[in-house]
Amino acid sequence: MKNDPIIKVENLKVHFGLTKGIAKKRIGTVKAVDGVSFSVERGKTIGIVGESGCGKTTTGKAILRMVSSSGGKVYFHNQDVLAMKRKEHDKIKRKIQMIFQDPYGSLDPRQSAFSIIKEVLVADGKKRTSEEITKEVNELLVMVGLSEEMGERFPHELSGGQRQRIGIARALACHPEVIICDEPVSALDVSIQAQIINLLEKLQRELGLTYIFVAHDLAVVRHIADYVCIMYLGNIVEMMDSDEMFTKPLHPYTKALISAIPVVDYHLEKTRKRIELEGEIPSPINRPTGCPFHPRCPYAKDKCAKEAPVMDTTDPNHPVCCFYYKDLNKETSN
Amino acid sequence: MGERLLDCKNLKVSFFMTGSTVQAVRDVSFHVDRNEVVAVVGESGCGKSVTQMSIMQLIQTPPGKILSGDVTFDGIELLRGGKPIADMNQVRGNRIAMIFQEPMTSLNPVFKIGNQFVDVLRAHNKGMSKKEAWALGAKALDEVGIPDAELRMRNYPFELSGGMRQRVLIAFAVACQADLIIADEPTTALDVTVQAQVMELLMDIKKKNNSSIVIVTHNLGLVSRYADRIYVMYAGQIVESGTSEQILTDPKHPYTKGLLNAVPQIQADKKSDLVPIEGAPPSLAKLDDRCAFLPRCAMKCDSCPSKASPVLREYGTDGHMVACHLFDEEVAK
Ligand SMILES: Nc1ncnc2c1ncn2[C@@H]1O[C@H](COP(=O)(O)OP(=O)(O)O)[C@@H](O)[C@H]1O
Ligand SMILES: Nc1ncnc2c1ncn2[C@@H]1O[C@H](COP(=O)(O)OP(=O)(O)O)[C@@H](O)[C@H]1O
Ligand SMILES: [Mg+2]
Ligand SMILES: [Mg+2]
Repeated sequence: MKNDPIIKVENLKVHFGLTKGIAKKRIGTVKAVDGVSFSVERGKTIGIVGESGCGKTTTGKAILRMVSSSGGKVYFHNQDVLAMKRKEHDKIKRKIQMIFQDPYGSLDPRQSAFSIIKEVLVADGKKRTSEEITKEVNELLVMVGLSEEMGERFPHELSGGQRQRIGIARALACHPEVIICDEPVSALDVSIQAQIINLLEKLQRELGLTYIFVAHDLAVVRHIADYVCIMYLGNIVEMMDSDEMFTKPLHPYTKALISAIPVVDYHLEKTRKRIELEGEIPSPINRPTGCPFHPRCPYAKDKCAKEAPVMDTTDPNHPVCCFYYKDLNKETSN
Repeated sequence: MGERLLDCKNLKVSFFMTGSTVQAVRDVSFHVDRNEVVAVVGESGCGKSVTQMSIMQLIQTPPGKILSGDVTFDGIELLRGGKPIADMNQVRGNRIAMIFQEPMTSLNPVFKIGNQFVDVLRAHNKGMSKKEAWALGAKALDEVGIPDAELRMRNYPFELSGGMRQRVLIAFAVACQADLIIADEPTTALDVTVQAQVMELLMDIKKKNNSSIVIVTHNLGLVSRYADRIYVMYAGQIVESGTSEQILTDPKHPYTKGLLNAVPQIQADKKSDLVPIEGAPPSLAKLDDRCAFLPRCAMKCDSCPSKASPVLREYGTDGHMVACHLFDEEVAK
């Protein structure tokens, strides 16, 4: 049933050294990503959700080798990307692209949209006439729902949604197989957000793209993703089909996240149960002992502070990292 | 009907830029009763913030100018015909508190939290000593759930997380026992869990102090959870208003319907296609006298382009208001 995954991440770790003063004395370690594993099949979307600072962006950047990882493997078509020599990596680099929350920060303000896309397109080194280049850039603009005239505009002359479209066109100019979408709609109004989500879905259907979709809005992820990873402090604590995220959440953190989202459905909202989380996500510098979630967990017991749970794969399609999730879900279901 | 706390009538605000005039607020009327949570929703750039800033008389002049509007707060006339009447220093921060999306803009980065409390409190209570004000500030921080309040009073704003800074602003409102808290996108930059904490806190404060809240947001989920009444704004105007139940379960205006359809739902049976509102809001410097939503409207009639901009009128008899030609006949009945 399962196809070979196009991307497979195994026990990925990214630890940042925390240094002080000009002598760069090492005073600690930020375990931004600490043993993350997941895989995604071609043409599918995997969602990664969690509060800010839990390591979502760093995971994406590690896959792209934009930050160096401290351990683990990232396979792209069964080749370990992290072990590749520079030259080898250069060959596959264009196949995995990233789009960002704020395309403004990643678009050169002095270049027109046209030249931003063109620059990336011609970097593949293929021989093209300038007519061919113009044609290809214009096709990309149209593909992301912009008119050719939009190419003449500069980033500041574009709206947030239009800028995100340019960011997508620029990624597509590399003819990628995988796009890591890092909060691509978080800064947009709902009306525009829906346009971009629909565009990403259309492109996926037409081009067979695979997405790693990072977001903190669970409803958005539920909508676009096939499979979801819930992250907390550098770890994945639960994974499941996106359809099960709201109907069968098992980890107390997932449950709390879901109950924190207010829903638009007026009558449903009035009847929902809420689990309030105390405090905020701790800094990964002061990572709690035992289960990293225990200081905020409403159901934590003594054991949780002492030992770190491992993934329970009783249901291989729905692994959970919690000692007591079974008891918990027995209690709440009756 | 509750007791009227804030009443704003016919507010018009424009920004006079070189070569163009941005009509940010185009004849907006709204009110807030005591103990009420009122939401103002709409896409960015539709005039939500400028409306609230005008109530506080915080509009940058020039280029901005309040052209008209009568605003009364708890019996005090703040604006008459767009002209300031009351001394805003007696109202602002004291009886009406404002909380912004990015609390850094309202906290002074170079002063300790505690000193800012002392300044705010003593500005309104001339007789209060520094020591008293400090103590009151620490008590307020404690009330809004900031641990080690006394220690936090000595922190600079940048030493706190976004959620904590938002709590500090709420603490200002608590310390001043503000009657009205205007919260402009107070949780937009926060994670959902922290958002829930901040909103619950606001609701607790409201209950304890018998105050009212205006929440400006584009998050319709928040509105559904917390608001009693909703004003939907588009292109500088209110296009629909009513109770949250009316607006969320029986929206009338095509724009309101569009906003609701564009939100991804979490319910199991709702994984259908998202329906975006096509296009983007118009430039407020280039409006004609027709319906501003016309170019994006999925429900427009053949006659809409030839009609003047629809006015906000009651639909039925239960206070549900809508500004759309679709309802011209029903409203007239
Ligand atoms: N270059 C870096 N040096 C040190 N710490 C970093 C660096 N990049 C990220 N971090 C830290 O790693 C953690 C995870 O960050 P990030 O991946 O950006 O989280 P998310 O995208 O989930 O919000 C955070 O605590 C962040 O401060
Ligand atoms: N200081 C200013 N100078 C010029 N234009 C402004 C100023 N403040 C707001 N505007 C304009 O007024 C309109 C309404 O803005 P705003 O009320 O901030 O929108 P919202 O809060 O609904 O996102 C926008 O077109 C905005 O560009
Ligand atoms: Mg991030
Ligand atoms: Mg605003």
